[in-house]
Amino acid sequence: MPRNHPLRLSALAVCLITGLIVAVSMPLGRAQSLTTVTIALPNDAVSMDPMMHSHTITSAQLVNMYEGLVEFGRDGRLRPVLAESWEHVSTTIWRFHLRQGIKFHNGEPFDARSVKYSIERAMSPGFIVPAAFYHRLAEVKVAIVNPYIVLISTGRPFNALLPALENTYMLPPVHAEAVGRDGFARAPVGTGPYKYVEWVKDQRLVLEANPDYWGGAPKIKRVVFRPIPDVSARVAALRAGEVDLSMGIDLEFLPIIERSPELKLLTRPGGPLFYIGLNTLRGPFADRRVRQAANYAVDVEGIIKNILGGRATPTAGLFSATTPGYDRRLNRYPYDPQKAKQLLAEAGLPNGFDVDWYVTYLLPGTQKVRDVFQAIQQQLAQVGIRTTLRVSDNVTLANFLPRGEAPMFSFSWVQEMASGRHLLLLIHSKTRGWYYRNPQADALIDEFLGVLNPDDQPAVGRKLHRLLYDDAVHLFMYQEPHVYGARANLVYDPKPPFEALLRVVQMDKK
Amino acid sequence: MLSVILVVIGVTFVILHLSGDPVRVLLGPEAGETQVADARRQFGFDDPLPAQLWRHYNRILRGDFGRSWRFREPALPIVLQRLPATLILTTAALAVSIAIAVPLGVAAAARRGSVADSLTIAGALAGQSMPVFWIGILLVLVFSLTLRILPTSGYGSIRHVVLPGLALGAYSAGRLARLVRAQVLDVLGQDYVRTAWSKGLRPRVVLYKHAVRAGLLPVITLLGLEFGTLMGGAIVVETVFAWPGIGLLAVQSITGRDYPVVLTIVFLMGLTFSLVNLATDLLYTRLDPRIREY
Repeated sequence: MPRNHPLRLSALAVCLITGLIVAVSMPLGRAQSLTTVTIALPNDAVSMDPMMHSHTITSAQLVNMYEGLVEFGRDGRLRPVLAESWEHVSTTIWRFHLRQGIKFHNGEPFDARSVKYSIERAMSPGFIVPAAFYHRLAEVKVAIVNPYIVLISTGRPFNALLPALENTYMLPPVHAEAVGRDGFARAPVGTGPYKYVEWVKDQRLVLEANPDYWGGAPKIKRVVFRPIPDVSARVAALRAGEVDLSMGIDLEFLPIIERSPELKLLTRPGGPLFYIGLNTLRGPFADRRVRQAANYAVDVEGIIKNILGGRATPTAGLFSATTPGYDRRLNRYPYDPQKAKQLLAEAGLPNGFDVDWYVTYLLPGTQKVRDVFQAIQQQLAQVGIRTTLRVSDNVTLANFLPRGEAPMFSFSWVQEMASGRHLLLLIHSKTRGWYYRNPQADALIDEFLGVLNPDDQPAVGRKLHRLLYDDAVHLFMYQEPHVYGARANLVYDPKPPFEALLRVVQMDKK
Repeated sequence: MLSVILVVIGVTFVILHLSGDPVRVLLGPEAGETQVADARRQFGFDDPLPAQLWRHYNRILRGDFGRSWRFREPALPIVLQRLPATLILTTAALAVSIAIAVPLGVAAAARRGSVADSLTIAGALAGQSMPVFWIGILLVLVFSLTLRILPTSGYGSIRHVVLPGLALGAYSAGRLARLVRAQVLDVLGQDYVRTAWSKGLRPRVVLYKHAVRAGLLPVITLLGLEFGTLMGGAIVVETVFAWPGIGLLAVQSITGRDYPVVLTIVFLMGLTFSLVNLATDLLYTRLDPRIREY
C-alpha cells in the first residue's frame, strides 16, 4: 500500500495554508493616528438623509454632520445652536433669531429659507422624522420675517416644540432641491462639525472635519464608523486596537474591558427605560390596588444587584432623572410581598390570578431580559400573580399591542426623555390610549407641555409624576445606562449625558 | 429551474407577510397612528395577500425588485453590491475545505483502520460539531488577539479574508473529508481495483489512477450542494467577522422586516444555487465519459 504519498499531500496542503496566512499577515500597525477616531457600532446606518429614518444608531452618527436650531446642554436644558435666541411673541408664536454667517458644507448660506424648507420637508408625507409627529400634532407653521428671523407658530401652546426642533436638522434648500429626494442621501450636506466623505454600506462611514465650522475646527480630523454586528467581534476589535470606541457592550464583556489596562468603560445615564405595561382598562389590573400589589411584589433592587451587576437605576414612574419635575423623593414601591398579598386580598383576589404576559426578547439596549423576566415571574408568583410568558418578536408585539388586548406586556423606551414629551405617547389618551385613559393625567400632560416658561414646568411635572406613581400605571422597573468600551487614550466626556449620540467634536486622543 | 425559484419566492413571501407588517418598526416608536395608516396604504399592505403576491411576481418578471423600505433605495443594487463579498468568502472557504478534506480523506481511505484514519475521522467529527461562530471566535483569539497578525473583522484586503475563509472552510471540511474517505473506500473495494492489484500495478498507480479518479466524481456533485451549505454558513461567519456580504444583509433585513431586500436575496441565492448545480452537472458530463454517451 502507498503509505506515504497521501499523507505527504495533506502535509503539503497544511504547509500551503500556513504559508498563505504568514504571507498575508504582516505585523499590524497598531498605533492609529491621533487625529483619527474609529468607532464600532452594532449596526450600519440606514440612510444619510436625516429625514429618512427613525433609527437610533443612524442618529448617533448623523449628529456629526447636521445641526438643528437648538440642542440639549449638560444640564438637560435646551441651548442655542443655529438659532441664537428665541422669545415668545404670543402663547403660540415663537420668534427665532438665527445665527448669521453660517455656511453649509457646500457653501450655501444658512438662513430663514432653510429653516422653513427643513421643517416643512420633515412634516411632508414620505419622510420619516420622529420629531415630525410632534410638529404635526402641534400644527406647526413657519413664516419668514427676514433672512435671519423666523416665526414658528403652533396650533396651541406647546413647549415640546423646542425639543422637537432639536433633531429637526437644517438642510440646504437649493442643494436638496437640485439633487432631489433620493439624491440627498447620496450627497448629504449639513452645517455640522464633520463633512461627508464616503459611505460603503456594511463597511464604513467616513467623515472629515469641517475646517470652517462656526464652533471652531474639531480636534479629531477624521472619523470612521464601522458596523460590527457581533458583540464579541466588537470587543475583539477594541482589544486589538482597531477601533477606539465601541457602542453596545453586553454585561458579559464588562470584566474583560475592566481588567485590561489598555481599555476603559464609559457609562452614562439615560439609556433605555424598561417597564412592564399593565392594562388598566380591563382585566385584573383595572383595579389600582392590583397594580400597586404587582409593584410591591417585585424586588427591583435585588434584580439590579444580582442580575445586572448594579448597572441600572430603579425608576418610580415614567420620569427619568432628566425629565423636568422629576421628584427625587419619590422612591420606587418597596419590595413588600406581605403588603402585595394584602392589597390583592382587598381587591377581592386573595388567591391571586393567572395572567398572560406578552414579551419580546428583542428589547434594544436592554440587558439580560430573559433572566430578568424569569426573576419577575417567580417573585410575582409568590404573591399569587401567576404569569404565563407569551414570547414573540418585536414586530409581532408592536402590531399586537395597539389592539389593547394584552393584560400585561413588556417594552422599553429608548427615545429622549429630557423634555417629557414621551408622556404624550405613553400616557396621553388622545395619542394612544390603548392601556390607560385618565382625564386627570391628560389635563396635567397638556398643562405640562403647554407651560411656556421652562422654570414653571417642574412644578407641574412633579404633580404629574406623583399622579402616575400613585396610579401605578406600570409595573415600574429601571433605567439602564449607556455602556461604551473605549481605548484608554480616548478622551470623551459626553456633554448632554443622557443621549445615545456620538459627538466626535467633543472627543480627543492622547 | 424557473419554477423552483418562483415557488421559493412564493413561500418566502407568504411566510414573511404572515409574520406581520413592518410599518410600526420602520416608523419607530414615536410614529402617530395616522402616519402608520398612511404608510400601510403606501406600501400596499391593505390589499389581500394573493393580490400582493401576484403584483410581486409581475414586478420580478419585469426586473423590478421593488425598493428597500429600510434604505429607501431600489433593492436589487443593494443586494448586488454585497454579492462579490459573499462569493469571495464562499470560494475561499471551498478552496480551504478542498485543500484540507481531499488529501486527508484519500489518506484515511488508503490506510483504513490506521492511526491516521482514526485521527482523520475524529478531526472531521470535531470540525462538523464545532459551531462555525465558535471556530470564528477561536481563530480571532489566536490570530488577532494573541499573535496579532490578522485583523479581527472587516473587509478590504486579502488579509481580511483569511480568518473568515478558514472558519467557514473548516466548517465544511469535516463533512467533505468523511465523504471523500467513504467514496474512495467504496471504489477500493470494487472488482476493477482488485484487477488492477492483480495485474501487479504499482500501489501509487492503483490508488490515484484507478481509485481516486473514480471516487472523486460523485464528490463533485456534492461540492455543488456544499456550495449551498456554505452560503448558509456564510450568514453566521459574515455576522461574526462583519463581512459585508449577502448573509449579513439577509440577517439585518429579516430583523428589520425589509421584505423587498429579503425577497431579492432569496431570488438571487436560489438562482446562484441552481446555476452552480447546473454547472456541476455539466462538468460531470465532461469528466465522466459514460454520461456523455447518453
